[in-house]
Amino acid sequence: MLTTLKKKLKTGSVLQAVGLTVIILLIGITMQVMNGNFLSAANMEVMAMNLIFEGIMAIGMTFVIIGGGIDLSVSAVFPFAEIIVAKLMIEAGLPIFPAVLITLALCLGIGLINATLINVLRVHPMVITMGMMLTLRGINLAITNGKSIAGFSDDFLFLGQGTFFGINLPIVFFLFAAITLGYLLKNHPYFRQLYFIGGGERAARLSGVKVEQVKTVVYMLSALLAGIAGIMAAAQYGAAHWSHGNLSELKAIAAVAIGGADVNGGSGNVFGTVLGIAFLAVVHNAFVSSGINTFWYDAVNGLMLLIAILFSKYIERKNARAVLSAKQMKLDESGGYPKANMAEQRA
Amino acid sequence: MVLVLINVIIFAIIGIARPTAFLNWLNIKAILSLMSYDLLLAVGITVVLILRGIDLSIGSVLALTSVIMALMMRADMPVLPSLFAGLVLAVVCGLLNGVLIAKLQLLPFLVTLGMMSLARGIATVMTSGQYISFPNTAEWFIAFGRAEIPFWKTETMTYGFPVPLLIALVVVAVFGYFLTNWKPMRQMFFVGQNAEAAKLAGLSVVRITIIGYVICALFVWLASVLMISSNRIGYANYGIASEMRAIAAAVVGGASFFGGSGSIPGTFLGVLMLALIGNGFILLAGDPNWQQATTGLVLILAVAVDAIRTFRERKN
Repeated sequence: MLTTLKKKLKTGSVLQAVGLTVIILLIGITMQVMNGNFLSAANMEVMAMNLIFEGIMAIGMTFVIIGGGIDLSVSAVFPFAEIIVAKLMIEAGLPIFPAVLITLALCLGIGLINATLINVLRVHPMVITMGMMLTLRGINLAITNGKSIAGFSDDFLFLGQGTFFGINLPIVFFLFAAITLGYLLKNHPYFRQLYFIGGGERAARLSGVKVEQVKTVVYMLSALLAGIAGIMAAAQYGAAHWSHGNLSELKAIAAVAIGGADVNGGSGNVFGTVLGIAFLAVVHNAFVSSGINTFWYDAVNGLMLLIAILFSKYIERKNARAVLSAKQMKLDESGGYPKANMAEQRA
Repeated sequence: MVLVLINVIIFAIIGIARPTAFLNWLNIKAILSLMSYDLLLAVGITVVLILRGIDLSIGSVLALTSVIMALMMRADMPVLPSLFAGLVLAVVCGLLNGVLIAKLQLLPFLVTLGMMSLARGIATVMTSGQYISFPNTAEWFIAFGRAEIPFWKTETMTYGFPVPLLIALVVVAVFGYFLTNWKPMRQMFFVGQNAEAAKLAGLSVVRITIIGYVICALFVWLASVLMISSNRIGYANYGIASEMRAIAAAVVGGASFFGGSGSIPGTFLGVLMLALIGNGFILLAGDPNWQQATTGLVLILAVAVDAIRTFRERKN
């Protein structure tokens, strides 16, 4: 009985993953037929690199959203990491390793502040992380005076521009992070608690889950990934600027929502997020290569986020109906109403 | 009451530190004029916050309506139909937000985040990021945005009260009166405090919520009209981060993210406080770049105060 229930629950998300893959392939094939260079190695690389930093952030965002939260501050942590690593290396003259380490430590600190404020004040995470985003963006602007910082050493630039077996390092890191964190999220009991928290925080707390601690870890993870993305971006662009990564939080959230996670928390997985970011990348690429005014891109992004949350709601309702009908079937099988059941059990 | 005191203290600090630059009618008029847009947006947000919602799209809808109205006037349309088109557009955005949130039960901040990107994107597409001027519009429309009602004349200069600010203040005051005294408006507090109970009491929660988002959009439209009238251009980058300032001001003024509370005088004082802090930063530190960071900090502080207030109320 339990297996059918599980099966029914799964069909929704499996359907979504398959559907998404089919849509991505369809767009790809259409573009290939129309332009003929969509599947070329050069275009594939451009496409993969285009949203790679948003992709890295989206992995962290998956964890946060599953736990019932949201992290808008990633779009400010990203340029913050760029600027700090640039300041440390170019203006303070630190070597790569300590500069990167200090930067990542600061990013972890931001995640810690986010989580602490959310845990202590018990306000919706959106508000706290929005305040953090604003504050941090203001700090980014103020400490650079709006100018970009350039002049990295070649060794540092390797982090963003170098290749590993012919694949760009940011892509390698994205895949590595997606696989390890995806595996941990699926199998490690510590991260499984996230689904519990996202499904119902009170219930999780009452059953002894250390809700505050898990949340802290997750927000720190999100900030850390945004920081790593920022450092790699600085190395890739060869410059740090406070306006980099603007609206990237929107793309990360859209990727997670399109990937089938429930934006209210409690469901989702890293594989779905990877599909979601692939979808966004393909759409973006189709936009650019088909010569449509690229100004449309922001509008389409917003539209896709709206469609994604609508779809997520639809799946949720479908799942709820599946659970209900499974319960009904169980009732039918046992041949009675719950009251009768309970009476039997008592007897 | 505390807010009045805080405002007076900030006023005094800046006044003592920079008497000539700050206590100068031109500077004070600049603060007040810039404040009028933020005030309208913040009052709109207050309505939505009372209903336990949030609207992140106000800044973008402001830009979109300004662009539409400017484009129509550039195409030599008369003023009133252009303004009406902007009004319709704003109402459509508000309706869309409201229906998605109230009817389909989607999370307010995600819906309005999507709307934020959508509206800004459309505005950018329509203008290619350019300023839209409308040189052939009727004189009165261009004139009233910068018009002043003189109230005191000296030999060297005339002291005048800006008309847009007057309009904003009157509208906000009238609305504030109705919000606290008119029954259909008072129902919003009920819905925000406990939607379930309001529903059981026979209120149409869905309709009231949608109306709230439309009211918010109306305030955005008014701000947009005043803005293009006094700036004489429509621009797709108007109002960036203004939703954050509006939310911060409303929460400072007593609105709560938990719904059911908020007042127009409080919001007014919140807007005034942010405006004074912003002006003070420019006068004292000389670096406007820090201003954005302070808005973020004020928002977090306001949230903290709100949370503590809610804790206390629950304890009682």
